[in-house]
Amino acid sequence: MMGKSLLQIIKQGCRVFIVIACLIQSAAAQKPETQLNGFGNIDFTFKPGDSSNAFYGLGEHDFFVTSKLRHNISFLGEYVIRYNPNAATRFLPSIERSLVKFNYSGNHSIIAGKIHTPLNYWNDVYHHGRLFFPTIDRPIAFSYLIPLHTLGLQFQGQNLGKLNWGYDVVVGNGISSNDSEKTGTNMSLTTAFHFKPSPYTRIGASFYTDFLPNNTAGVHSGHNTNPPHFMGSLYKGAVDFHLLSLSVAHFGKQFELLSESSFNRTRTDTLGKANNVASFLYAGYILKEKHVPYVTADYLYVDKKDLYTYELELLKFCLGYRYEFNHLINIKTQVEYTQQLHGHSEHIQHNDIGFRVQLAYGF
Amino acid sequence: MAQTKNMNDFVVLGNGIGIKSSSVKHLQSIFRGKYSSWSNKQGVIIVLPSKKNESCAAITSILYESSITAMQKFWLSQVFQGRSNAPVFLDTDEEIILYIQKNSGAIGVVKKTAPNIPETLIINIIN
Repeated sequence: MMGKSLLQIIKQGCRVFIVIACLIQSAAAQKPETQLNGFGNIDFTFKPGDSSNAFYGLGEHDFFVTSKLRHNISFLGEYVIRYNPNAATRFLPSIERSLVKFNYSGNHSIIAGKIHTPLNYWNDVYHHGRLFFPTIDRPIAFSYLIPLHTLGLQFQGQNLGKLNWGYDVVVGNGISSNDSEKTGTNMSLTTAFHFKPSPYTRIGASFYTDFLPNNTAGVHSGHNTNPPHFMGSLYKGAVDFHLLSLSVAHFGKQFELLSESSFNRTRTDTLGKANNVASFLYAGYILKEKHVPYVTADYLYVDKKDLYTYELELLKFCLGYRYEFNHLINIKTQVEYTQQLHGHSEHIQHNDIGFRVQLAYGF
Repeated sequence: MAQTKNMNDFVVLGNGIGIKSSSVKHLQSIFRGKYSSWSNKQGVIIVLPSKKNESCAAITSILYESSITAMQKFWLSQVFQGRSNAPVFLDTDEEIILYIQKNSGAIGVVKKTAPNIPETLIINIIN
């Protein structure tokens, strides 16, 4: 019985690939309309204190390709070169998105490839383009809780009905996988919806679930694949990972507001359930279209029973100013205060103040 | 009311899009990328005047209720998100008319005084 159902799944998979191959073959007969864009940033950081630092940094450089392969099939690729201390040149390339989108009916599409997991507004809208970021950095949770990427199949709908509803369902390689293989047959599942009551407002929620057989973080997790704050030996057992997210975004002509909230539950046989939370709030006020003073508050709490991210509590406040030269270049300055709220054997309680400048551009 | 008055200076052209008339509000949603394809299955191609076109500011103000920079930022972001195909920006009304004539699924706006406007492609504006 089991063997028969597996055979059926394989047959079904073969049919899907044949259909996709036929579509791509018919697309190849036409001349594609291809556009290349790029995004990059240069940063300056000053951290006063006992071990004060001041330095310039070359940020991620993002090469973005879109190509219309057929009237209803398109390709999108996002390739980033970023700092990596382990590389000989200190920079390495990576594939951040690479996908084929088939708009099969109305505003409904099927997407195959590597995507940014549509968990929240930030990950679904800004990707690696610092030009679009309202602040210098992503929310703290992006370095710890948020599975940024998925490689798999996405079902997407957008701008449906008067309230412009949208949905995303993604089945793909999860947190433990890399971009070419994974162990086990389990897949991550993302379900998300949003609606846009006005052209400037989007409200949405999502649920993500995954099973990590041996608690390995591959290339689809947060940007810190191993917890940088934890120096002990890492747990190697199985982890159940669930993430619930809520986003409220309003980017109007006068006010900007973005709220990203996440509730994460992990479960292990060793310590049981761990409940983690993260919340990010951004508010900006636009003056004469070009000047945007803003504030942010960012909080992350990871339970001491968590064996995936490991215990951590961070709080960060920013006071910032953004100047938009035009749609292709802006400059942001931020005064930041970061507090690590409790100390224990693995990391010490500390407070940091920093001053940062970022020049972000598109080309 | 002001939008309708301003729209009176322009003509909306569409080729093979399956509609013959539209309100300004509906046009705004079309030009803001609400639809990926028309009801007749044709893919939507948005054609806009580039910054070099003298009508660019006025058309942007009507369709996007924003400045040219804000409209350009909107489209850069939409394309980057993978939500829409990039619009086609053209410098002159003549180029816009020619492009729409050649491409089924294309929709654009030109000045009423532009030469050689094909009457068969005109979309009537209704209140």
